[in-house]
Amino acid sequence: MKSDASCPIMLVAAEAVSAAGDSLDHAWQAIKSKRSGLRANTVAHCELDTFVGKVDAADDTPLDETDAEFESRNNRLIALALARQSFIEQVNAYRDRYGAARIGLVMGSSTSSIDRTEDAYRTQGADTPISFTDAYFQPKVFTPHAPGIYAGKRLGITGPTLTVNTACSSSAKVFATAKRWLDLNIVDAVVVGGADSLCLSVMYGFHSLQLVSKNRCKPFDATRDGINLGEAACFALLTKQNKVVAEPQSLACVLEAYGESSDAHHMSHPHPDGAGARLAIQKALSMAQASACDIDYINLHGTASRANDLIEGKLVQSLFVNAGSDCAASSTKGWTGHTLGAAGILESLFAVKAMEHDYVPASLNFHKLDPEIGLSVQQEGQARKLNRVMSNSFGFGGNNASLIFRKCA
Amino acid sequence: MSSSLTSVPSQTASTSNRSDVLDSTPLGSFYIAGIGLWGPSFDSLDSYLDVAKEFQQDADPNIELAAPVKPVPKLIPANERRRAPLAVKAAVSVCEQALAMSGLSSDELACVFGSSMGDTDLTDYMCRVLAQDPALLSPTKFHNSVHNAAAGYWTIASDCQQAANSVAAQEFTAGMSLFEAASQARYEEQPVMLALFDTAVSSSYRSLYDLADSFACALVLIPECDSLRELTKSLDQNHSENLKSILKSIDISVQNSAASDSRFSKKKMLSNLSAEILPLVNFLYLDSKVDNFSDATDYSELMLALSDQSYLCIRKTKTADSVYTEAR
Repeated sequence: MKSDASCPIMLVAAEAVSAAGDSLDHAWQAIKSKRSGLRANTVAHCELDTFVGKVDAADDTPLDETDAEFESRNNRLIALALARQSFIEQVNAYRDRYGAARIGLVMGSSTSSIDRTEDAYRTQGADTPISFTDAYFQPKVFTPHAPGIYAGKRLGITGPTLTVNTACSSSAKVFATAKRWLDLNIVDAVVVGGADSLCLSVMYGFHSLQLVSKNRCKPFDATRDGINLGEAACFALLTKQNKVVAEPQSLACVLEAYGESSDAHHMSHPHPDGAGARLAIQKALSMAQASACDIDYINLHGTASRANDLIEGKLVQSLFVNAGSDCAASSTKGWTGHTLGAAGILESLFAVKAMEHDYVPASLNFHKLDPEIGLSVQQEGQARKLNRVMSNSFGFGGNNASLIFRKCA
Repeated sequence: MSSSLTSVPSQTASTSNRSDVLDSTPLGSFYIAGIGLWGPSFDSLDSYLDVAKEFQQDADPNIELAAPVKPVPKLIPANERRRAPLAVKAAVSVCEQALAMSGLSSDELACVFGSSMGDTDLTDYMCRVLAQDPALLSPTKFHNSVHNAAAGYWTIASDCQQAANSVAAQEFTAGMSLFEAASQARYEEQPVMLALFDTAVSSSYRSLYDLADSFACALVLIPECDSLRELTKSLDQNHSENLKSILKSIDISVQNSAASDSRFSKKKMLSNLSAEILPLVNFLYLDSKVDNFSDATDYSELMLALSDQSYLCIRKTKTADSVYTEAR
């Protein structure tokens, strides 16, 4: 049997909650007005001197009583992202038309609900045997698949459901999986998502690798000195163009291509020449049958770590600038922090919003370009016609993904 | 409050004549060209089959199984191996077994690593340190704690720059991982290494998940297309003779049904969610007449659950001999 990639895949609806805003539209307004979501660290039980992209509503918005068995910060973020009816109504339209078993769900996460595990250990004391009883008797939470289980329950999806856990590329890769499922006609629509929460594992984990900055992160700046961590939950609804059943949201666009690769280099250091990242970008361009000059804007992974930005910057320079492309590029992590397993979809949605509004986001906290990088990164946003955009995500284990979206014809 | 997931019955069934199938979508034909296994009392396909036959013929399902031997993945350098978690070593060692059988080079295969629970020993370590003195968290243990650690170690050790996925789907992990591997193999027309692995859950977690066994399995999945001809061309005669006993041809489709399937087998050899792939191994490599993993009489196809209402349907299509002859 052959897959049918001839009918384009449409992104018809999306929602996001992040430090930049309690909805995707509010986050976009924050991007246009250069209002950062980064604040001095207030993560509970965390003493680190840094800035974080925290969703404060997750501190004091428990799940509905009927969802008590799912309680975790990560699931609270999912609930906050699904608090608005418009996205759920879109999903319902496809579920009603095609049946719940013909809707797939692919979530991406790196922490799943590890925040809740940390709670269980902290409240019981680390010296004692831990018991997951009473409020902690949550077999659907203490598992890497927790985001898929909870989102599937909330959205009433009974088709194939998967959680991708490839660290910081997780929720970029969900689009690749969704494209395969749709082109192979396994399902009629796929909800993709990403959810990751601020917790001690990631705060102290990245701190132990000496990657956390005391300052606001400054992607691609000459004086950048590390990352800020963030949290987010995001969703997008994808379907084939000939299967659209409801009026798409105004951001609607085509998921054109993906590229996935591995560095085969080191668990936590990127390949010094960006070999794996190069392969992912080249694969995406090849699937889109596009050249470097066809890409108008790249939302860079741009974590503001010394290594990532240098390697990614040089790579994009080599693949795009040196190939004659005048594509714009920026990192939006200055608004949200690095949201890890949610970053792939969050930043894809920012790239899609950029295309909807023909507007290139600035790079926040950026003053002077690292002299080793030959890229056009800007302090200010700029109006510009955007027909095709790319989003890059690179994760631990040398796991890379690059996505391309284009405007509807 | 929901019931514990440990009460969920085995998510596999062999069945036919399903009257409630709403639709069926073919994924096409595939070859299994390599298999690696590791678990209690076995560390290869052959030693697994010995144990499985004994288990099936024994009226008492509680046969004694020996603790798994220490997995020693040769691809991982000794100094790295010391720091690698057990789950990673188990996963990489079964991939090595499967790769060697296939005769393929590691950089020809994309990979999908499925693990239901991840590394709960490492989670236990992390959460204890974080509750006590978070500044003492080991950076190596932190980067080993990602769910894609096994995928990372495998691609690094085998110098594979292809796509590497790392997935989880709780009780559906085996079916969903196979589905993800097969759909990727089909879509990209590329061989895929599928690894399923879970070590026994940490004692802290036993009240939640009674998953006391360790298990790992790897399958080399090749989509039926020109790649098989290319593959066999590159093999020497000795290698081909070995492959002959392994090579299987299957058709895979995805089926949706209106209702959950209750006809699931309950007899399980291992308490491990990744081991839900074992019915497929039995289906392919055990004489079906001695198989009593399932209660169905017609064993021409096997179902692996993807969700409450969707299933992967696997059919054997040709004998290994004819596949082998045709491929050459």
